[in-house]
Amino acid sequence: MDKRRVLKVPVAVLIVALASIIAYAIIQYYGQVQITVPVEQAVWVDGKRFNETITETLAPTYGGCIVYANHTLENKGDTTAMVEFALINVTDSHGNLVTDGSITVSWMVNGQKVDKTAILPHQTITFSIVIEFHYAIMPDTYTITTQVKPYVP
Amino acid sequence: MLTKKKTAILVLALAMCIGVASAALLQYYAKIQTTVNVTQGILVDGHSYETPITEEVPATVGGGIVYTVHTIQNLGDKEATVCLSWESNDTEGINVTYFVNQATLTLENKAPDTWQVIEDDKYATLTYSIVGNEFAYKLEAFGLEPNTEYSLIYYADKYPRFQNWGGDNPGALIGTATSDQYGYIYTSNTIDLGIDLPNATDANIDKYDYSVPPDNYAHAHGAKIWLVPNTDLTNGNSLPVINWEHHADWLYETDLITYLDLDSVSTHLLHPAPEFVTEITVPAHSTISFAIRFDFAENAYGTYLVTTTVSPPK
Repeated sequence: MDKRRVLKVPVAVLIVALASIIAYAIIQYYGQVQITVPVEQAVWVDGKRFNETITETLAPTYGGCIVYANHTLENKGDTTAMVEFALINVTDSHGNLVTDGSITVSWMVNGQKVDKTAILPHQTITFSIVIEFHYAIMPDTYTITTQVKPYVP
Repeated sequence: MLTKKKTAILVLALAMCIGVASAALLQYYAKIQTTVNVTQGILVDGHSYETPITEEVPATVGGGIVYTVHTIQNLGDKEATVCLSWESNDTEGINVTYFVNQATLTLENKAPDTWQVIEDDKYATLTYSIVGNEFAYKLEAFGLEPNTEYSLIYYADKYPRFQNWGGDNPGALIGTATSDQYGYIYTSNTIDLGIDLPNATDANIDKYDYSVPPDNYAHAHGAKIWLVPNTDLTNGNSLPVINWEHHADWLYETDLITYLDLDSVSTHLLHPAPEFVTEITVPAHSTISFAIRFDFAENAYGTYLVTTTVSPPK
């Protein structure tokens, strides 16, 4: 028997077997879908985004008085949103931090003092920043900076 | 080979960073900056701390007592407590004290035969200043005849008081008010009486002792304050009282009061003894009158410069 003919037969079998394996492989997926979704901020304060600082000037008041700054919170999402309120700082007209307790800041929702609150899906609620001035406070113009933050238990 | 590996790690880290940043959660939803202009909430005589109050009182003598009257106004939404302190260029021979310039008297109807208070819903509460250039008062009365004009009077007895009636010794009309359909009166006013209460001529300044039965008042001497219908006064607006027909319905004093008119030469009978204080609490949106009393020792002389400071508690 010709020695070359003997070698060709196994090679041919191997090629056929390889071709069979490829032919019978399972398809891993039929297609691929790429989705791009622009996501807007879910909770809006006074209809503004987080990067738009809300500034307001209240009516002049006296030491010993309590003033209220009213705002809205809108949840555009499909799930209840929990938010918490935070005081960032209080400064006088010279930019000095006021930390002597002469100004007390709290938040009120539905007449109750709170530090966090829940907003139902697609609901808008109002809240007040309550600013209490000690009756002996030095007359001046004060700026109070607060934040509304996501609450993560 | 090593450089290629480092580059690959750097690219991977960068890619991860971008991935994290693009999926980051908001740290806050909004930032709110609130600006408020705050002015002084406690005013003394209507002045801020930047305006010193200066006054000169009439000259007095060693052993004399002098008063000045001031107000503390709380413009705030909560009650406020202030402290009073003093210093003087000469602290020998002088003492300075403070008291709230306000007292309260209840007026009641009484049984004409026993002069005892009738316990019913007819009464009045008079809040009045103890010293001042003007007599300041608030009157709240209940159970009166509806829609009737009433007068608040100082009834000054003559001696002997059960023979000389009328209350015009000298007496004074303090104020008038008309009751509403429910027989209720609320009125407040100030009036320059021009005299002390009691006046020096009033028999109740020393001739009678009202601290014993049937009156049993807290104070033996002083001035009587009554609330009577205008129709029972002379010409409907002055003393003496001329019509006693309805006197069972009048409201009478339940104690004798004193008031020092700082414009007049006075006897300086003053009771109830003022409660001296170093702190005064002023309710929200209210004004309180307070008096400074200067007591000079018998051997005091010279000019004293006294500075009173009204300050927040430390």
